[in-house]
Amino acid sequence: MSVFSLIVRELWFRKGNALLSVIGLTAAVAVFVGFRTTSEASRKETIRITRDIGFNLRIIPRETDMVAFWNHGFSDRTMDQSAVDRLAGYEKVFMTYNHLTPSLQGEYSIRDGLQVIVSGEGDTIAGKGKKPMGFRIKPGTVHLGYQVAAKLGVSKGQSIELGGNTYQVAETLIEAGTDEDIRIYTSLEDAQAILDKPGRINEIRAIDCLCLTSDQDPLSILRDELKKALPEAEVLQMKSIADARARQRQMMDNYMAMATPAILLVCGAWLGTLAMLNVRERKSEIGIYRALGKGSWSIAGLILGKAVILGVMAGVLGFGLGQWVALHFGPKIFTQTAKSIQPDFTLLWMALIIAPLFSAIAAFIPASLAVRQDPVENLRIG
Amino acid sequence: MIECQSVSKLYQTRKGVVESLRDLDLAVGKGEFVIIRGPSGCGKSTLLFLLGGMLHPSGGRVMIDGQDIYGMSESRRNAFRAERIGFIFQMFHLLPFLDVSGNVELAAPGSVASGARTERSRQLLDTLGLLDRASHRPDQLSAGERQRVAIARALFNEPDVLLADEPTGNLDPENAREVFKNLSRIHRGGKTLVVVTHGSIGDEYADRVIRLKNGSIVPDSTASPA
Repeated sequence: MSVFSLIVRELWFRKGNALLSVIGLTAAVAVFVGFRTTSEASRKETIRITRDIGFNLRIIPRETDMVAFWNHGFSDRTMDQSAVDRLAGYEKVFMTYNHLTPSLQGEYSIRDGLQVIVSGEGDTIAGKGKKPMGFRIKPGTVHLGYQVAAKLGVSKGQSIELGGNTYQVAETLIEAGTDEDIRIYTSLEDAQAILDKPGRINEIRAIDCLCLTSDQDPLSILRDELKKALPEAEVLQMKSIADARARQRQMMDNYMAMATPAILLVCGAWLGTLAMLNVRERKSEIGIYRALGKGSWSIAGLILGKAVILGVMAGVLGFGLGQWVALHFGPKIFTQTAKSIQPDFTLLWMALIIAPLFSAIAAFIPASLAVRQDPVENLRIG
Repeated sequence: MIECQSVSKLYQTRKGVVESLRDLDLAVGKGEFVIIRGPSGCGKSTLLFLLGGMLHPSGGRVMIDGQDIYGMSESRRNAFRAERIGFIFQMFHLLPFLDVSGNVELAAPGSVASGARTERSRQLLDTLGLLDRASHRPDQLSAGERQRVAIARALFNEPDVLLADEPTGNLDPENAREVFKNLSRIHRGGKTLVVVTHGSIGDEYADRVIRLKNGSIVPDSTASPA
C-alpha cells in the first residue's frame, strides 16, 4: 500500500483531527489572501488619507523675512518659476521631496478696500510612479473663499474682475475657519497676472518622501539636499502635518507587521498541537510500522505527508474563502478605492506553496517525536 | 538459528536501575518451536523484542543465522527484520482505518506490485479461514479473527522466524487453542517460532518450554514438554 493511500485512509478515519487542522490553516490562509487581495485598495486608501492631510514642506526664497512670513502666511520675496523645474531636475530630489507644486500668493485689494489673498497653484511635478495630488484650477476661473464670496455677494457661475481681467467663479468654498476663507484660488498664471508678477513664484509646496528612523533628523537631510539642488531657497517643515502623515503610514505598516506573525504563531501552535495529538493517538500504529521494518523516513513521511495534504486542502479552501471575504466585504471597508479589489489568482499558487510548507513545518516537531518514540513501549500498550 | 550470548538488559527508572535480563544464554535451532513462559515482569517480552532487533541489549550479543543483528546499521536491521522476522502481539495492533486485506498487505515492501500483494494477501487469508472477511474492518471482527489477521500480516514476507508476544493473552481458551493450532501448522511449514506467554495453553505444540524468572532462565527448564 502506497504512503499516499495510507495517509488518505488515516486522514478519513480521523476526520475530526483533520477537519480541525484544515479549519485552522484555512482561516490563516484566508486572512492572508484577504489582506493581500485588499492590500492595493488599502494602500490607495492610505495614500488618500495622507494626501488629504496635505503638503508638509514649504520651500520659500532664502531671503524671506520670516517675521513677515508668519504674519502674512506667505513669503514677501519671489523666485523665478523655473526654480521648480530645476529642483525637479535634480537627480536625488525625489528621494527626499515629492509632489512639487509651484505657487504664488499675495495680498490683493478688491473694491471698497477688501483685502484678500490671491493664491495661485501651478502643475504638480510628481516622482516616478506617483500621481499628482489635488486638482488644477482652470485658467480664467477662480474658487472663492467663504468670506470673500460673502463680502462680494457673488455665487458660483457669476464673474468677478481682478487686475483688469474677468474671471468666472467656478466654486464658492464652505467656511473653513482658517485664512482660506479670505483667499481667492486661481491658476498660477492667473495669480501672476493678478499680482503683476509674471514668471515668478514665492513658494514650492512639497511632501517629504523620507522614511527615516528615529535617530535621524529629517529636516537636516531635507535642507542639505535642497542646498545642493536649489541654493536660493529654504525649506520649512510643517511638523504636525509631517507627524500625522508618518503616524498614518507607520500605523498601516505596524498593523501588518504585527498581524502577520501573530496569525502565523497562533496557526502554527494550533497545527502543531493537533499533529502532536495525532501522533500520540497513533502510538500503536507507529510501533507496528517499526515491527514491520519501516524506517524513520517512512514514519516521518506519514506525518509530514499528511501535513502537506492538509496544507494543500487548506490552501485551496483558504484562497476561496479569502477571495470571497475580500470581494464581498472589501468594498464596504475601502469605499473610495473599491475598484482596486479584484480577484488575484497568483495568490492561489502562493497559497498552494506556502500552506503545505507551513503545515509541514508545524508538524516537524511531532514528526520528530514520532520517529523517536520507543516502539517497544508503543507495542506493549493496548 | 537464534543465539543469545550473555544478553542483559537494564532499564533506568525513577526508582533506579532495573535489571530486566541478566546474562542470558539461549539457543533456538532452525525450525524449532519454543515457548518462553514466566510470570509478568520476568523479562520475557523484553527478550522477544531483543530477539526481533527492536531493543538494544545493555550487554551481550543476539545472533540470527550467525549475524550479530545489533552490529548492523539501523537501516540494515530494519530491512533484516522486514525480510526475516514476523511479529505477533497480544493486542493485535491492527490499523483501524484499513480493512483486513489492507492490514495484511501493510507488511509488503514497496517493491512488490499491487497485484502480487493482493494475491499473497488472499492466499494467506484463505489459509487462515478469513477470505470472506477480507473487506471487513478490525472492529467488525472477533478477537480470534483479529489475531489470525495479525498472523497473516506476520507471514506476508515469508519470514524464517516468527516471534509472538502473548498471542493468546486476549483470547478465550477456544480461540487460544485455535491460534496455537495455526502456529503449529506454520511451524510444521518450516518456520522457527518463539512464543512468550504466561499461560499453559500450547505446551503440547512446542518442541521446548523455557521458564524465565527474574530475567534469567530457570535451570533445567528447557526440556521438551513431551
